[in-house]
Amino acid sequence: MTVRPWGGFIADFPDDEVGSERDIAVFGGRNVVVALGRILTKLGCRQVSEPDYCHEEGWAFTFYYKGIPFWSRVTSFHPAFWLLFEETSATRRARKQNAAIYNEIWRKLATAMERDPRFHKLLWRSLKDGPPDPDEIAAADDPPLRSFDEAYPDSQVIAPERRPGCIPIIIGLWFVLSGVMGMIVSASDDPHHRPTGEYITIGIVTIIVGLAILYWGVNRHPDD
Amino acid sequence: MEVYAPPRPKPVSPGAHEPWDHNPAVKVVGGSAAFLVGLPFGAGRSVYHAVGDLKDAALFAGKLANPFDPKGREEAAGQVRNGVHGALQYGRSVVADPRRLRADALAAGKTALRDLVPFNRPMADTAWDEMKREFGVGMNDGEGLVNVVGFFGGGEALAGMRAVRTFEATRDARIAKSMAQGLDRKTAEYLSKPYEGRGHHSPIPQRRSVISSEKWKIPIPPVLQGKKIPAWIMDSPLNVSKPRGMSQADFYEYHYGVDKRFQGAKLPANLNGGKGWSGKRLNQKRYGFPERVWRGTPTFWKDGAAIVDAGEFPGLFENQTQGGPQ
Repeated sequence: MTVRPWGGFIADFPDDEVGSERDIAVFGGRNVVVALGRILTKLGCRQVSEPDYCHEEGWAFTFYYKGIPFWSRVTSFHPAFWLLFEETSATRRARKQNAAIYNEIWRKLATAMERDPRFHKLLWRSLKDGPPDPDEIAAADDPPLRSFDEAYPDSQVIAPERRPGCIPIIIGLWFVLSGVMGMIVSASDDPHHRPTGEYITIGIVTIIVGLAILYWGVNRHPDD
Repeated sequence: MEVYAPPRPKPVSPGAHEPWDHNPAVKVVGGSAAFLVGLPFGAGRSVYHAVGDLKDAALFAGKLANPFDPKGREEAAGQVRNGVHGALQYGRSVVADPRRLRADALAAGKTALRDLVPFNRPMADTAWDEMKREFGVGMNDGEGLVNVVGFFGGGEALAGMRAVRTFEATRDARIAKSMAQGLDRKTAEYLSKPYEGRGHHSPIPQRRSVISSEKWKIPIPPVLQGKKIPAWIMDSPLNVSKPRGMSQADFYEYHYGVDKRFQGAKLPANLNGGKGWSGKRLNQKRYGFPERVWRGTPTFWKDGAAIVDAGEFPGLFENQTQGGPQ
């Protein structure tokens, strides 16, 4: 099972956007975020944060489920909304270990929203496909032809994550090798076989930069 | 009883490594690899030198402006006078003999060819010496590349300042561009206003603002666990890309290009049929990985690259005249 982090839906909430016909002073969606936060609290989530204003991107909030931090953002196209629901692990290993819990809370939230009479026409999309267009949401069946469980049957098998490209890994190794070789070359020209202070500094910094690129290259999400 | 004796080392005759150490193919392969490996080190050396140059420049400016050290001020002013005098002398000599300029340019070109082009000198005796030499050429080219990056950073900074200056004058062109994309005039006019949102977060995206050991599956000090990265870091110019002189339409296009999680934004209800702005609907392009990294980098860092370039410039020729490590 792979979580589809982009959701699109219609919500029966008053439009809380502040502005006029000519301009938007504060983008809407805060009330939807508050409602989702309450739903998640009932589902066992903890430390649901206050909504964080993200201007044209909407409103974001964070919460924990079974000790794992999540991040979510709602963008208003009132009455249609986009929901981005993400687990925020920074490493491949953490993502793998947190995948089952991510899947569990996503399923719980989707089912709860499906049962909540304030939400309609729920559609879910992958990160790669992006959210459904507001027109597509408006045109969706209400109630849906297939329930969430029918459309996305639960499975204990978590789809393995695709491998990210290898270019950052090659670049990381290249920098590490460069840092090491710079110091060796400098030492070989010194009568006492010691690299100069300048070369040690540059070498160490180059190695650290290389290791950072390598770490990021190994752990980055394939869709990032 | 037999006593164990380690095998005697075979005598090594001079030139025993010759079969491979003097092999031209080994030298070419090793030299090419060393050239490539030298590039990142040269980039680091460029930054190192630039920081040193900037420090020297700051100390010099401090000396020149220090009212409590008249001797130091006089000394610094003398250095400035000497520098100006030297430049004027050179100018006069070029006016008197224009061939000098050509000769100097040729000499500089030859030096650059020697120090920046790999394998343009007779091969060294051994593979290791050849590798060392090509590593040095790679370093010089790495420094040069950083200068090019700084040049682009500087170019972007200038283009941004020009965009700010000419923002009002280019408004009609921006409206026409949005209309050519299929938006109606009212929407195009709305989107032609200056962008005033909070920008694109990079290198730390918004979704990573919470610190938790669960993200890395490594222990984190309890004092940091569950804390949010403070807004003064997250929303600072170090972590927010908001290129200068952009209209709303420009920024939405830019943001769609660099961030896969930005898909669109709401517009006032009476604009664009209430559908908002959607990058997908307008067929906007997403940048490839290297372009995304470059374009997504906050202006602060690009301006920094330009400043590093400016700091490196005075030391450029001094550093590049040496093919090997210094």
